[in-house]
Amino acid sequence: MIELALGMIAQVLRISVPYALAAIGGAFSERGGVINIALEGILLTGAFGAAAVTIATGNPWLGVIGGMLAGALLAGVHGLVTIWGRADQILSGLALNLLALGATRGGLKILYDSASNSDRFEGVPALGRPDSAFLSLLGQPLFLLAVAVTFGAHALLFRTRFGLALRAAGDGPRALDGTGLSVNLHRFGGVLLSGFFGGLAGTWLVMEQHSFTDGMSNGRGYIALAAMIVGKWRPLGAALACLLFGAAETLQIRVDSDVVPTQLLQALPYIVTLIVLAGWIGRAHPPLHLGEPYEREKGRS
Amino acid sequence: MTARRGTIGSGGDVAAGGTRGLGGLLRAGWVVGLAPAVLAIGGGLLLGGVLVSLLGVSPFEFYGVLAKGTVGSAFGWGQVLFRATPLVFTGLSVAFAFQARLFNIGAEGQMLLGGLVLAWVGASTGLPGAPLGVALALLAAAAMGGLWGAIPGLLKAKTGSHEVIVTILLNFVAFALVNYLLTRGLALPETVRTAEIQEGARLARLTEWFPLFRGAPVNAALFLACGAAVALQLWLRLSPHGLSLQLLGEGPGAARYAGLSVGRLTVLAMTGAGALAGLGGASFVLGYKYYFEEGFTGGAGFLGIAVALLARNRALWVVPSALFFGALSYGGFVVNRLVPRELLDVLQAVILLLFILFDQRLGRKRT
Amino acid sequence: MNPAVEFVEVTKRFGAVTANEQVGFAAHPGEIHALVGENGAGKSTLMGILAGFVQPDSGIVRIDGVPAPVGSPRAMLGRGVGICAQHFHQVPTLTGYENIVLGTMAVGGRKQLGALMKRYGLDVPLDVPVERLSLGEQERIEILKLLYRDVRILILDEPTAVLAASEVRALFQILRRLAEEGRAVLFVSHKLPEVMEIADRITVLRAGRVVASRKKTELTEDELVRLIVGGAPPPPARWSARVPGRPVLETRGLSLGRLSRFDVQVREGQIVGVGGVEGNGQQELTHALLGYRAPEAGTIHYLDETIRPWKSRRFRQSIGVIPEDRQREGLVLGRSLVENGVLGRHDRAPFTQSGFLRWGRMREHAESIVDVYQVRPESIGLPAVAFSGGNQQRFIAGRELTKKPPFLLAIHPTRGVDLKATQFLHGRLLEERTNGAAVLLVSADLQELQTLADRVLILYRGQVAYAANREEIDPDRMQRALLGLGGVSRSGAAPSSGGAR
Repeated sequence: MIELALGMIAQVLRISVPYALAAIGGAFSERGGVINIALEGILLTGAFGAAAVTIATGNPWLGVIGGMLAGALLAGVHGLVTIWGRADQILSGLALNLLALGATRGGLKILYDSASNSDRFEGVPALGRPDSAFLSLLGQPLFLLAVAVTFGAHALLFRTRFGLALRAAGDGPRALDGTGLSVNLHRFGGVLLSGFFGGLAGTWLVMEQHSFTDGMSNGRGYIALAAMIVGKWRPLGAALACLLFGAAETLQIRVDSDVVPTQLLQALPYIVTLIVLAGWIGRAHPPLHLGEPYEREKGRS
Repeated sequence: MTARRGTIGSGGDVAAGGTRGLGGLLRAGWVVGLAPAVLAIGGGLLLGGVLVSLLGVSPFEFYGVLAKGTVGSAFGWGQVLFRATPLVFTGLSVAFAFQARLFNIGAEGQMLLGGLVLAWVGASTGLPGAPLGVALALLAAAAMGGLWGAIPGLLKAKTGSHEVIVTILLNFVAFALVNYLLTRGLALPETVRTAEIQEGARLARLTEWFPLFRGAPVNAALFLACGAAVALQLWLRLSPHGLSLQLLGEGPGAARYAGLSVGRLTVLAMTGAGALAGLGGASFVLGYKYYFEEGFTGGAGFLGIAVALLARNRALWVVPSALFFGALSYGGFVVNRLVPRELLDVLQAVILLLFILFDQRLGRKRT
Repeated sequence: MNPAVEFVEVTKRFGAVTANEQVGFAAHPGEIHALVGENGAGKSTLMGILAGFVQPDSGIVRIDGVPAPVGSPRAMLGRGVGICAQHFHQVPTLTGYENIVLGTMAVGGRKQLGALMKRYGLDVPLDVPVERLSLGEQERIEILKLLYRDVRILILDEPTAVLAASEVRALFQILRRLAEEGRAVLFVSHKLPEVMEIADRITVLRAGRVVASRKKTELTEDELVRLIVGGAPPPPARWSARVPGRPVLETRGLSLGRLSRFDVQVREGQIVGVGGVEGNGQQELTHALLGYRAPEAGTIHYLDETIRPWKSRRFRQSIGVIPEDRQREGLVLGRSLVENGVLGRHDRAPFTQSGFLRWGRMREHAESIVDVYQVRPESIGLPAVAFSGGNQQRFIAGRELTKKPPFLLAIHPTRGVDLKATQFLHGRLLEERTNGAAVLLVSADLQELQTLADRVLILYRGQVAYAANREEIDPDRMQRALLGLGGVSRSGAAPSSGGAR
């Protein structure tokens, strides 16, 4: 019984990891004032980057780095286009998601001559060989890294000068500018971090599955954004919210399809997200200047 | 001094058009409006050339094949027009919602559900003959799409949930719902398609009238789409509700202050958008295959965002914009033997990115 | 010795509007230098240039005799220039301490801050998000921020607007002390008695140009007024006694947010003024009347009917409203005057008939507003954004008043509007009163209230702290009530002691 419960918990955690990492990434971008719908594409690009590097080098750790860099690359474009280009943040994000979908699909064809999936590869090797699902999760270096990142992200945002300045960039950019620090550079830093975290989330997906499949992010980036809102733009809050969505997805896998049709269960995580989001909104306060490019001469604001 | 926040796709010149009558609206500022699109397309195609050279293909050959296969023959045109037809509907859908500055990312799901309803009504026994049968099927599809679109509108009005996230999530719910309905009796056994629709619900193929299309799937739904664009343009110009939507979109504070019902208009914008997207399946379901098939949208719902954007959310401009993206979509199949056809998806995304960049730059200079 | 700050032929335009034209003057170390002028004279823009937030089109700014790189707050801060702006440059969600150390090495910050607070007598909670502090406290945080950075040239833009009299006194002591330490203090204000009290030197701006820069001892207050308005001060709008008619709008026990049990009655041919420092419940009052929010308690009555503006649009459509923020609430900036002229009424007769808009009628309507309310330029096809503030406000007033509303809600109707337009609008409001309209005037400008209102109510922390009919107004008590310094209202309501926060 305990073993079953632990197994269940392990599964929830395992499913929640990519959501949590992506949601934390979203928090860094949005705390600085940049809406990041591109998270979905960042996840996908990160997954592809991790798979490609791992397959090419045979070293999964290089793959992890490759995945994070690939995510940061897409995020970097988003940052350039929206912060200095001052383009609409939602539209830029959507365009980048289309770009990521097309590019990874094309990449599959070019690199692996397949329309649907990459070659298989071994993921990051586990520490030891425990026989329980729960302990084996604890033995996953990537899982430990994800947990460390979650707490590290919280400290970075709330305990460092960079975090302070980043929050100021989203809540009071003019005040930040007045102190002589660059609003745009801090925002860009936040967006880049969202790329690293989102890329790591994609890396996790691909390491779990041991191959890249077309469109494998499957809306996780969007759910992560919802989790970030529910978690009030705080890394730990967002991670907690992700456990809820992870649980919904676990339920989807575990519930007997004779009781509820599988096709409807597929919709469960999205419906749960919708309901929570709709019920939560009044209590969540987005960063005060979210979505606005910073303009020094805007007059009073 | 003045609020100069960039509003995507809004023409500062609409106001000037407001006093010059219908002709003025059609003429107003279209040269300026076109510049970002031209620059973005040019830049995108240039980058596409670089990309294909990297893949070892001559850009001249690539664009030669692309042009010849799409607009170089009547058959190619027939294919392009066929692919542009649903894009007109989804483009109008996105443009409609954007009058109130709402992003309808849910056109994909709305179109999917609308398409299923088209097939279901179209196949039901006792359906009257054309044109009434067609009209009934279209009405039902618009209602279904409108209903699905109303959900994010209501959620936004009642709880403030952002329509972008809600419509995206609803797409996934729509996919699951359609799958479920197909397996529960709507699909023919062992397939992912529905039964064929009645004669009375079918739209004529243009190749029947103009043999030079040589069997290309373009059909009368194209006229419906163009009619919808004209109707929407007129509605936005002549109807008080159309003006209400635009005022709310361009000056939410002032509109609310003046007593416009923000909640009701939000629901109206999303419902209308959903209804338009719901008609997106007309071309495929009523005019081409005569049944609903899983995955028939081909991403037209998402591409509708690009179509509306390039058209700067003007109803009439949606038509040429849809043609352009229709050509790129079909172009993927044409060039597939040279490069992976996804390259054209990448190209579309790049053009979009460049467009929002140029639009921001040029739009700011005008104020 | 070089002047601390010297402006040389500084010009700045925003589109068609000239904010500063060939501005030149100097401020010296150890001097409190007041900058005065009407709203829109260009004071804030000029100080924005000095602080680096605004890039001038031409001209030089010298700091200690050396030209400074303009258009960079960072560079100006490096030269020792700091601003305490009218709308504070603060991150509302961060604490006072975080706001102060933002962008600096925070090591040992607390100790240093403690010393500064003691030395200048600036007592303020440091560990509360600044959005929860009063405006006076926020200002102290802002000044601490400048002192913490050891700024030698301090700009204070309208620093006394949010302060009680005793706080003003304390601030002036600090400013004097800072000047004695050899710093230059630039003090922007439009309160002339204060300027005459604290300044060593006074520079007057009018329509973007410097019209005088002299030692205080060379100026009298009357001369100063002449310099500011450019000639003799215009005569105030003419008010004449009138017997009010039947009640038009009444609130009973209206409570919403910080507004608590608010009673007011506005009759035909009467202007009732509601004054007070912003944030004392005025917004809640207007929001309840506009139907943005349902009140927590109390009722609203309109022409013998109990109404619920938050449920029905009917009341909103029958009244006239001159909004606080004309650019965001009054106009759809990108649209022409034609559309703005019928905003909110476009979907009803005569502008809509059988479901169709009647553009001809709408154009005629806009033309008549432009004509009667003297909006310049007279091109109804131009988008609203192309008009100056004064003209935008004339147009809005025209739109609302041509409805001939039985009830008019005017919220800070002349804020940021030039004197001529102000006189015009005041005249119009009084004319409406003569014609029998009931007017509720919300304004932070006591002068305006005294000029126009038949009866004045002062809000403090959501309650009426002072109420008097026109002939009984005691300006001193009104001023004190405004700042929460006692003064029992005539209706017996004691000033609130509870936290309306």
